[in-house]
Amino acid sequence: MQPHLATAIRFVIVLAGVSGLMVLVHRGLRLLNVRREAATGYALITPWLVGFLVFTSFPMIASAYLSFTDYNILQPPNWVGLENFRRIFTRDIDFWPAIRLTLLYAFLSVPIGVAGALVVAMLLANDLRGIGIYRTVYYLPTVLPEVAVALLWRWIFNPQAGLLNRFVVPVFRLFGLSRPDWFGDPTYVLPAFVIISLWGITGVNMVIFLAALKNVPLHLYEVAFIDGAGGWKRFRHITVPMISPVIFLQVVRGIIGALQIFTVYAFTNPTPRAGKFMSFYIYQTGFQQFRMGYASALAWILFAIILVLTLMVLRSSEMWVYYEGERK
Amino acid sequence: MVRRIAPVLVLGMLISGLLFAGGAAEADPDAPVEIRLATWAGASEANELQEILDELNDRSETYYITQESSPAEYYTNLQTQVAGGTAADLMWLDQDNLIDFAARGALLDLTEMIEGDDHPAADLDGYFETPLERFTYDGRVYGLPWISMPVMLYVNVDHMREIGVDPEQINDWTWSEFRDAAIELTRDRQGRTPVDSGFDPDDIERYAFSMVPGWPPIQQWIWQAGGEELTEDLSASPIDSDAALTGAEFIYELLHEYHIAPSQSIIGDRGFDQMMRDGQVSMFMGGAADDLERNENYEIRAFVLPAGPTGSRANWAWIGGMAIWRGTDHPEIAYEAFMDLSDAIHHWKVPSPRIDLANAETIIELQPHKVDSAENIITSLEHLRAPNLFPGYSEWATIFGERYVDPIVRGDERPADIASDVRAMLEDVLEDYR
Repeated sequence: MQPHLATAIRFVIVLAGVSGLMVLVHRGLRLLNVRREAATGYALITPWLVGFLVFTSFPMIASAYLSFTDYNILQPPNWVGLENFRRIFTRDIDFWPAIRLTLLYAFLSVPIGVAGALVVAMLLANDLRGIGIYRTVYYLPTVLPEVAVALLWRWIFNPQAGLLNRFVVPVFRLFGLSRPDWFGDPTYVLPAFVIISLWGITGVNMVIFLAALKNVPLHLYEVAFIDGAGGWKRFRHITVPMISPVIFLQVVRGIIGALQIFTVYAFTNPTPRAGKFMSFYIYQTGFQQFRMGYASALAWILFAIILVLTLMVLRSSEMWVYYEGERK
Repeated sequence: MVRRIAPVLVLGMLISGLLFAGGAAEADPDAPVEIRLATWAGASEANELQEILDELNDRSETYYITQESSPAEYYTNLQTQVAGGTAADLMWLDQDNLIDFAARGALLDLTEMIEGDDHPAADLDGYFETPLERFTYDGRVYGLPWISMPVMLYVNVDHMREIGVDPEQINDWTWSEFRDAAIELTRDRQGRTPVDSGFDPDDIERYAFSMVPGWPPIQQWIWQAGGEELTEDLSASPIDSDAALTGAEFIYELLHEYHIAPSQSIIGDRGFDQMMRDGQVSMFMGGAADDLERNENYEIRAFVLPAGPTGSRANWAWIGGMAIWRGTDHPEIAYEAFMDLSDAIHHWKVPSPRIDLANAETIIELQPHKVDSAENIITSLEHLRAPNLFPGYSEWATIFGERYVDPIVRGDERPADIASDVRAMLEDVLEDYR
């Protein structure tokens, strides 16, 4: 049998199976006297629910189990209890440098990224002639594949022929510093990635801020203007509070994204003497050294860090995020 | 109406799909059995391999081999397929990974099958010792090598003549002659060499050599100096011994005192071997199968590696081979296909790990552009050496590469300053796997 025919048959079987399941869910719920509208809703989300359970929940539960095992893929997992975690925290020579690099990157890149995206969005919020073209141009970076962007940055940071060093080297020489080797010298690796993160200023982040800025009621600015408020005061006391839910969203998204940085690191191949980002370290341990149990433990630690930081931001949001119409 | 029809329709589709699939799965017992072959072959290599497979498939009445090539993330795919019970019957493996797969029970033990086999590829006495050793584990044979590739010193002969070096002498070089030539070949844009006053290491026009962390393997210089990076009994990593340090310090000196090689950033942009092809680099260490001799602008030839202080020309062997998945449904037929294909690849890839096929005539016949390199390739086979491997070698190699090689090659750490600390890290890994 031709391989494509076999694939087509499997596709039909899966399609039929999922359709059958939807019908069964609908029938079952109706037998339980669930309202027709609700039963239809549940039936319609069944395919997504099945996908979520099979491709997201199950791997998460499996990786939680594997983090307590010694698992090399080729042999069944061997239960080792907390050994992976003990080793990570006490003996792993790469773990703490990876945590340090990843957190430093997040703490530096997220504020710069959020502030930068807001500034660009404010510029693009002006109703000037041809502003649509600018908005399109600023959004273009988003449609580029991440790998292509990584290769582009590799060229920009090239010590000899790179664009950045053409501007930077004369300044460095004034201070008696040698030509920076951005990915080869551990001193410059973190700054290089923070600069690369500026790429995120444009694109989706900018568009979200732009939408938020456009939703700030104009009459608030008019009233402030009449009361004699200047540009900075209007920004500080109207714009920021009104878009604070979006800033909160961007900070949370930024933290999660920064802590999971992978592709650019993998394709720019910086010196490991600067440490490795956690996601890359997890990949290296799991898929290059085939220590899946250990890699799962690392992944859960990264998950815990992301969760804690997100909860901290969430908790702090009560102090600085303003929701219109919110009652306390 | 629709509500009544829908379940029936779905059920009908399910049943018809299952029947269709079931019917398709029925097989003619006399028909040749499909044997799947997993490879890392890229497009052109896969096309050449397919021609071989077509010939074998035409001849065989018991099997037909289908090729499943995945050049990217090959070992990740392979491990996942083995774990999922869907691996190919035959699989290409290199020396680094064979031990892992064999030790973890993923490969068929071929020892007994080979003993009673008179197939030309089954004559184990006909193989070079090093490549065959790397396809055995715990005294059992888990695969057969199909290529045994030494590292060669590719030299731009035109550049050598330019600095007054007779190419015929290169095979007799020691480290010091290699260093002297490298210094003479490296030129900045003002034509100054690294020992001339005013030499500008930031403005080099032509480099003598090319090196990145990991290639050529620093282990070669350690071995040539009489040192070890990993003892044969896998008990120690004495990279801080005097001999081992001599090898690593030689590399440090070449790279950081004489600046004979471009930085990794330059190599990354201009291409590792491409710089050699373009005449921007004069000497390059590559595998014997590399085709650097195909060059319209320069005469490039492969020579044996320069001898270290002990007289050793030990070179890093890259050994590729094939094994049979333990979970195959047809072990006997898979073995038959494995043997036929191994033999066919031995007549395709050079240099062959088989003594009778590894000769200059075969190399020239298969790759005519290697006419001036063939004898040197055969000579290099005598100096082949493979690393001492163990399950978990990749973890050891990561530390060796990141903590020792990268700081020396890419940074400017002196080997003597870091060797003791790195040794402790490496031996920590050995302890875990002992």
